[in-house]
Amino acid sequence: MEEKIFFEKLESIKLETGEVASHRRQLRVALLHARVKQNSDARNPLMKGVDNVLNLFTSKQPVWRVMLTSAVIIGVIGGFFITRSTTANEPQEKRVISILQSDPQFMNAIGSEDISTLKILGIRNDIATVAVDGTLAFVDLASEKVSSYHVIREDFTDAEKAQILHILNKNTITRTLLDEGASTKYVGLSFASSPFQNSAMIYPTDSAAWVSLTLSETQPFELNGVTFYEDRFNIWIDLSREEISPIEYMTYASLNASDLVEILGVLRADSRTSALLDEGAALISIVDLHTTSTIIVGVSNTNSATEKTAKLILKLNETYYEADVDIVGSKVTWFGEVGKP
Amino acid sequence: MMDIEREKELVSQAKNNAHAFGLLYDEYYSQTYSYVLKRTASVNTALDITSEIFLNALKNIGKFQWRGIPFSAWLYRIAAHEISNYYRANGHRQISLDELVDFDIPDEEQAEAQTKLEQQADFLAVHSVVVRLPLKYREVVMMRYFDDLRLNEIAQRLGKSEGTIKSLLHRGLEKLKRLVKSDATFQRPEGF
Repeated sequence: MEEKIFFEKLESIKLETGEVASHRRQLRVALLHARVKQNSDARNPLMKGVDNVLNLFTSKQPVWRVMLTSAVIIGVIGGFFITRSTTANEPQEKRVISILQSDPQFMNAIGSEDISTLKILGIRNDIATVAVDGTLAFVDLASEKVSSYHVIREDFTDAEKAQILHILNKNTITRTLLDEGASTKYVGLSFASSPFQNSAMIYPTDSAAWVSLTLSETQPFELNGVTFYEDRFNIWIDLSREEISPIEYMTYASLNASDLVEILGVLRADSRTSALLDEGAALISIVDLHTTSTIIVGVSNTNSATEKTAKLILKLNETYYEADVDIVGSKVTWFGEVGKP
Repeated sequence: MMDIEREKELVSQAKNNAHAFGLLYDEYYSQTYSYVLKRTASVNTALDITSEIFLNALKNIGKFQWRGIPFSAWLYRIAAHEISNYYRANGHRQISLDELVDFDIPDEEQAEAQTKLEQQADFLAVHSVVVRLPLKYREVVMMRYFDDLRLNEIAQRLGKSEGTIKSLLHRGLEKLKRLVKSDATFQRPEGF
């Protein structure tokens, strides 16, 4: 009889296995960390992040990208100046990864559920400067929070594309373009931990997208009562407000890599700005306000092909300075102390 | 279950992309853990072996060649190998993940999972007999009755013909009968 019962039970056996959730999570992190270590010989995580930015200088890039990622590369370079970067040890990296992954806004910004590559460039005053997945972030180790970041990426998730299309269809002008058969190119996304000002945007925003709508052929087109010949329209989208900033339908004057080098040269040539740099200014990303001596780079650009200016904000201790730079004329046209931006 | 074309694409990406491997992990973690737990009847052991399986998969995914067999089949082969190692070592294992991370699993979480397992007396009683079968019969019986797989699915997973599986299953059940009959200490579990 026992044999019969045994086989009855065998036939009907069901096991509720469940899961140990913390093991699932921790194993995932461990495996991805192992993958980072696997790849570390082939690719230095730091250099990958820098390479991504440096590659911009070899191809024509729209204003937004150079403008914003110049801040990133400055931050990367500055990371070495300010912190004399030390070799990161594993526990510290794990801790930073954990902090980054627990910030849903940052993870949404990089468009990924996990951190693939990470390198601590240095730590000062409990603030870690981190190159992560090709971007730069600042992590406050004391409060265990992501203090600032500015992420620029070209990979759009399906959800982001859907959101953008929704916004484009809400706007009568862009909907008209789409109805005329314009094709959509998703150029780039920009996310920051606090609102950033871009000259193309109406308001500062913490998340923006750049797309271009291209008609199949150049043709006379009327927009806002203006007739012009254009086949490409560059669209800035404020993702936070879900609205479109003014549409650029004229050829833009882009700020390229040589301009950036010239800006830095102009700062060094001017005694006022050079003195600030000599006092130990560090170069960081556009939004970081945590280091004691910083340069926050904000660039505004005019559309004229013969005039290029840049506005820089410098911070030394708790004092802010503005320097307006005439790039073409290679001079600082205005310098003075300003209120906190 | 993941679409086969999607899985193929993901596996290809996973050779170089950590995110893609993470997606495969998400897809197959539950099944893998469940598979191992049913064979080891120990939460702690199942967690250890599951870790080893995925570490092994991560290390070797670069060598994985897509031959029309699902990725899950490859994963199960790794799992079977790791479980076999476990039994050969009589349940004593060295876990090689120390250099990666010390798992910090709350005692209460693990204990709760083990308690839930121990409450399933029927399974544990049956398992205690099945686990005594020779490996080639044990695996077929477990796949058939613990994993609820059809014969053709077992054949595909083990890379054998359906006829062979039928034969192994039949012989496995015969051996089980003899084990139950001859087991003087077989206690009728509560609920039998």
